Amino acid sequence: MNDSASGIVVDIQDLNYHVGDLVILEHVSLRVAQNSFLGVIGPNGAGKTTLLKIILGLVSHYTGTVRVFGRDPRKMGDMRQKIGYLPQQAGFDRTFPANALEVVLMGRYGVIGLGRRPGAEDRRKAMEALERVGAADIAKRQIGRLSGGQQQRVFIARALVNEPDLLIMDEPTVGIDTQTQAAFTELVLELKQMLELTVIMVSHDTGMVATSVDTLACVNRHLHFHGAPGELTQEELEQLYECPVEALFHGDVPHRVVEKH
Amino acid sequence: MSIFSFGFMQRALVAGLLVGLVCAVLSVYIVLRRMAFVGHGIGHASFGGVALGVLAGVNTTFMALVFCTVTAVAIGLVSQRKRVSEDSAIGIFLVAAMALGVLFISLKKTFVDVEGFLFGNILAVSHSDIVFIIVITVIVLGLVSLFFKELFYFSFDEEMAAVSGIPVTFIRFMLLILIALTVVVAIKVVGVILVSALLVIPAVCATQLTLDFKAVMGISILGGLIANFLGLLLSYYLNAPSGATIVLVLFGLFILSYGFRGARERLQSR
Ligand SMILES: Nc1ncnc2c1ncn2[C@@H]1O[C@H](COP(=O)(O)OP(=O)(O)O)[C@@H](O)[C@H]1O
Ligand SMILES: [Mg+2]
Repeated sequence: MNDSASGIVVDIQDLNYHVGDLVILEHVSLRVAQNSFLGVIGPNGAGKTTLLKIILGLVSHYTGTVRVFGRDPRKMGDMRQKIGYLPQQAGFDRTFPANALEVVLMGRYGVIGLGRRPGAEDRRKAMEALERVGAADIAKRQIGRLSGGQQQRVFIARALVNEPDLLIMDEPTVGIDTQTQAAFTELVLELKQMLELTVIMVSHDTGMVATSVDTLACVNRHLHFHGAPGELTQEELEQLYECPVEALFHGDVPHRVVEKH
Repeated sequence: MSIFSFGFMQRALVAGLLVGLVCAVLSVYIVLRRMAFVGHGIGHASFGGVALGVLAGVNTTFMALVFCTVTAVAIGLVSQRKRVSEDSAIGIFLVAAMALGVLFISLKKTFVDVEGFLFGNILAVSHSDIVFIIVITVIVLGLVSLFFKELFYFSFDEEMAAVSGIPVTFIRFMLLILIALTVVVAIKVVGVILVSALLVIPAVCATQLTLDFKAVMGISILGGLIANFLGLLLSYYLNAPSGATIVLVLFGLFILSYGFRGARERLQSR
């Protein structure tokens, strides 16, 4: 059976992952349909980033079956370029001598191959990606000197530079002000539409999750919930976060997850 | 210039400039990757190799090469597991190799030119040393230009480099081994104690002056060449130890570039 033909981009069956005695993910089964938008929420240390890394093939020693575009993510080969990844707040050196365009070009390196330099075609693609995220004007600015929101756009451009089918984002709006967050949400939805992307996004921003995603996965070692956002009850959410949570998905204005003092 | 009519000065100059060049190139990655301690650790490891060479009556440079390469690979392997940090791994191998060196030398009850290893002796560079330095220079420059973009991405963000399909494990070990090779030749010029200066200061100077990667590389190389050339001249005229003089010139360049950056920032904020 070919999953990509059946419209399933990511197929996870009974995934278990532990490091020593520490169980990080247990009995997780999850399917992500083509062109859908999956939001992943859960408390800190729940295993969200780990789940993304398994999908990306960065983590190997798990049990269960994981298929991405019908392939084992650890052996993707060139198929790797079909996935764009925006890591959790990039821990790069703010003084690193690279400008925005060079950072986007890095996304092309795997395609260009060893021993060769990026050429005019690569530069054109990188500029195009920057234009797509509305960041063409900052192409020559040093990456560390850009604002958090601008950097995020540059990293999205890098994730998109090889025209992927699947975009994976890990808490892209952490540390960014509310207004920029709203603009970012708009951008992601627009890109998804325009480039026919399947999107997986881990988020703390439950407001964005509630209003934008098609399906929601609540992870806390186990997969606690998987379905449309509207079906999630407050009790389920409180159970997930193991603390009282304000109603998120009922009423007009989406709220944040807050701890009661 | 008349002093360069001496054969030993010609060899010293060639050795100094080539070593300055390769060290400056690698210093860019060492500084951007924040692995300044690596050159230090691998340099000290060479002391064990040199001492073993003396004890066993084997070519000391060859033994230093073996020791440094083994140490570099060991640092890479241990820190890759992430159970021990790179810093700690280096700290441990550094003292172990130094201790072995001291032990080997104490076993050999004859005179050993310990000072030469510790502080370098550029005026004693032989013809075969020059050949060795040229070979290492070609290897380092060749591999760095072949993997220029991979090293760039790797230095910026190792994990994302892996996601983009860069063979990061290979690049990590290659960089460590290139540092090991370079350390062995640099020891001839500045010695074990001062070798990390050549592997750190040029790039630090360059990053004070520019935010463009290729310019960082260029300025770093220029700084390395100037320091080795000036240092050698000064040490000759002042009759001072060459390694220490070269390092002090480098330190002077650092003070200049640091001051320059400070002055520029003050002007800009006005
Ligand atoms: N390589 C690792 N070694 C040990 N523990 C790990 C490793 N990777 C992740 N963890 C642990 O796994 C848990 C889940 O981490 P993570 O996936 O980053 O959570 P989240 O992204 O949901 O905050 C955490 O407790 C973390 O400390
Ligand atoms: Mg995380």
